[in-house]
Amino acid sequence: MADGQRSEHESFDRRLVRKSPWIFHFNSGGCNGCDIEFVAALTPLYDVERLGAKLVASPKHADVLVVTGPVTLQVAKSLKLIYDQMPEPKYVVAIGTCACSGGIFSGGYTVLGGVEKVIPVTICVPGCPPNPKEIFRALEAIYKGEIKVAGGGCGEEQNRG
Amino acid sequence: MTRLTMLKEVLKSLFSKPSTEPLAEVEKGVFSPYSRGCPVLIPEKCTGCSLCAMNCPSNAITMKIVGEKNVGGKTLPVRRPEFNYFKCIYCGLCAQVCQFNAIEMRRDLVILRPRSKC
Amino acid sequence: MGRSRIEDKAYTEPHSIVEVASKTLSSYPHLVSVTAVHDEKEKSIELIYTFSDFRGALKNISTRIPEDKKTLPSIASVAPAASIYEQEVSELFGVAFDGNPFTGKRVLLPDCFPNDVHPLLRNVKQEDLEKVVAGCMLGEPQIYVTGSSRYSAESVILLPFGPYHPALKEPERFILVLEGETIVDVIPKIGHVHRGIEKIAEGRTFLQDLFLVERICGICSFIHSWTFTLAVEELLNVKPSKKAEYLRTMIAELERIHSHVLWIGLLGYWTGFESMFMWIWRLREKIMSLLDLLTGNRVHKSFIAFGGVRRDVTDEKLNTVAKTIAEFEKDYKKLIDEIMSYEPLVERIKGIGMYNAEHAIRLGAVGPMIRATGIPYDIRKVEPYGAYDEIDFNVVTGKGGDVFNVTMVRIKEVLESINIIRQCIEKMPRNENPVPKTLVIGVVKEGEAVARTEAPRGELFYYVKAANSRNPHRVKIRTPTLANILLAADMLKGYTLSDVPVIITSIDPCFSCMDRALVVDKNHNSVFFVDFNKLRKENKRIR
Repeated sequence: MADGQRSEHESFDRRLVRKSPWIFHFNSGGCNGCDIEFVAALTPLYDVERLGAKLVASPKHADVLVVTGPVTLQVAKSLKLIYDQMPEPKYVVAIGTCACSGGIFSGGYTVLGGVEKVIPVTICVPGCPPNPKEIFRALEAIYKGEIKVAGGGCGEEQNRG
Repeated sequence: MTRLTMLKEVLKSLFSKPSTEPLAEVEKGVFSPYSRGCPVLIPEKCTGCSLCAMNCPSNAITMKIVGEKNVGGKTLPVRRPEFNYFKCIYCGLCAQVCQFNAIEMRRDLVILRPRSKC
Repeated sequence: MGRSRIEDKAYTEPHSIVEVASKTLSSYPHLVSVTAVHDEKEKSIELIYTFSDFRGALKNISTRIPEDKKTLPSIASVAPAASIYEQEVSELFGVAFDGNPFTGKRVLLPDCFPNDVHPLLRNVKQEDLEKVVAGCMLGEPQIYVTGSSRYSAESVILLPFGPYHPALKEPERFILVLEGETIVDVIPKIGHVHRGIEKIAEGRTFLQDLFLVERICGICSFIHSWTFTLAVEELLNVKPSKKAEYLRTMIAELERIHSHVLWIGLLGYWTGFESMFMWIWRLREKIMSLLDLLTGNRVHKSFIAFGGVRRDVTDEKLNTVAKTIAEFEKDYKKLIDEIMSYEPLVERIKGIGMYNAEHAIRLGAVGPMIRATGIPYDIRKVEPYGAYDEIDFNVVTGKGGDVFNVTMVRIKEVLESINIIRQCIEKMPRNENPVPKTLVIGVVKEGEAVARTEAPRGELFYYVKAANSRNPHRVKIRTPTLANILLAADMLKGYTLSDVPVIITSIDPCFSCMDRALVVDKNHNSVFFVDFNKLRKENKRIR
């Protein structure tokens, strides 16, 4: 990407945080499918690490919270707690259909629904599971500053592209 | 012996393509050429039978009333399926149960590009 | 043939169940599952205990208790593995088991779930459950504290491990009781990934459920849908074509390779050998691309249909599979030679988490865990399904239970799977159409069927009951991780804190599979709940 192209996207908060996205991965009750695709995005073939992305062990070091799976009642509070611990500005990426809306599990007696019900979401990446390339592109959008902190969410307006 | 294997490995790595996909390649495509794709309605073929909505595993299809038609003196509503792409699991069952091939699974569309509302 | 219709259930009176179970155990030593079925018309709950021996014979013992007096003696004293299965029934159906070590504890359902709601009873309506979910969110935040009557605070440390821990990719909580560095006890608290799939399945049609059960687990997704299909095909009396059988077998074996290779990579990650993790995962992408080529998705294949498969595979694609598998085999052998000749890794896993065959049988272990001790218990061999009866393969066994032997079993099973795929491609009839005419099956006649398959993690068990309706009356799933978790908790004892990730992951835990069911500890510790304010007060007092 050319420098000129990048500055076009740069917003004010982007200029404040000019650094690599560090990622905290949170499984909110998913089936593992999105998790293995997310880990596959970190491994040599797709290599998100070329964006400087790094998987960190503590939410206090993270810029991006990657959430996979429908939010179950048992983890809802942990999710809120972890989101609150992250420093500002923070981005939330909901990976997979379940994290976007509850997907196939909506209606279950322990399933709350999408991540949006608990915390604001910056980007939704639907798919069951999304291809690692798609996950790469979502993280790249954050890296390039194409997306502002306050989230668009998975609303109906986004439905048609 | 081990040195020889090591040398072989080094030489091989020097002259082979890197296993990581180039950035342009990753940025370009979302669907692989074999993937099941993304359901898109072909409105001309649809009869509004709602077989797809009944069989959708994640209830991502809703039948919306889009107009009215006149059949034998009676006015009946015309229904068309609408896909919620944030609930869809992209299994392709709707396209397979459709008797009229009114649902196409398209791989060329980039419907799912993450966007922000701002 | 991996599946059967339940026709001969040995009926027993509820009070004599322990006696009958202990008699059955002498000839059928492996307890497969405890299934509960609610019959709202007769106002009773039927319990089916499924036993098996190691040569493939199944025995079902059934008992019936009335809806208003839900108590039953526990068989955990004769079959320790039953304790988990019974706890699952007791939380979801409200049946009280006398003498179960977990009685009175909440293990599976969320903490905020009311005690008197048992979601799997047929007369619990969806609207009521929605109210419960809404009410749950309004409640006070709760935090666990483990108290203990057996351990005094001076002698031991209670260390929470999880639910969100860097070593666990999925949320699960283990409370480790430590004496210095040594683990003396483990108290798992599960249920973070419990999604209530069995209840959702009852409200949807058979065809929709096929896609639902596939999404129980992302790693062994195909085998879940295959097992469900086997049970439903038994109820429908349908037989798929030969080519469909071979295609299913081939996809299942590709999935086994992907699952085992993923696990070997993660073993490297957890032992601090990260380049091994990267190498192995790079190699695994070859298999993922094959799955994409054949089924249209890398993870959730959605490949199977009742009576066949959903898309045909051309000869051209089969040739690509044969070519890629040969490349994969060469690279894999080379890589494994490198890894297993690296002494620090072998030292790290040898002699860690020792257990013996008798132990594994008693705690109901399945899959590579039981095969590592030398017992050749593999459903593919003892009760062949799919095309396994026409394929020549060996059951890989180890020389005694520890993490090293389990690793070796998985490593060799990958080579065996490559062998099976090669035979599948050779023997597959090319001129048949494996796709059934229609996917929709409509009403299924009354009946009960069970199906067992060998998932990458071990024996997977499904029970499906149909009652002349489009929806199943009951779907019971017993996943391999649930059967293995008691063994994992037991293996940890006596080892140090630094061994915890290696031992827990040695069973290849798939918590998303397990949590639609549950797990618990086997000690007599009390686990109680306090609210957050009370905890803060306690903390202040200590300070």
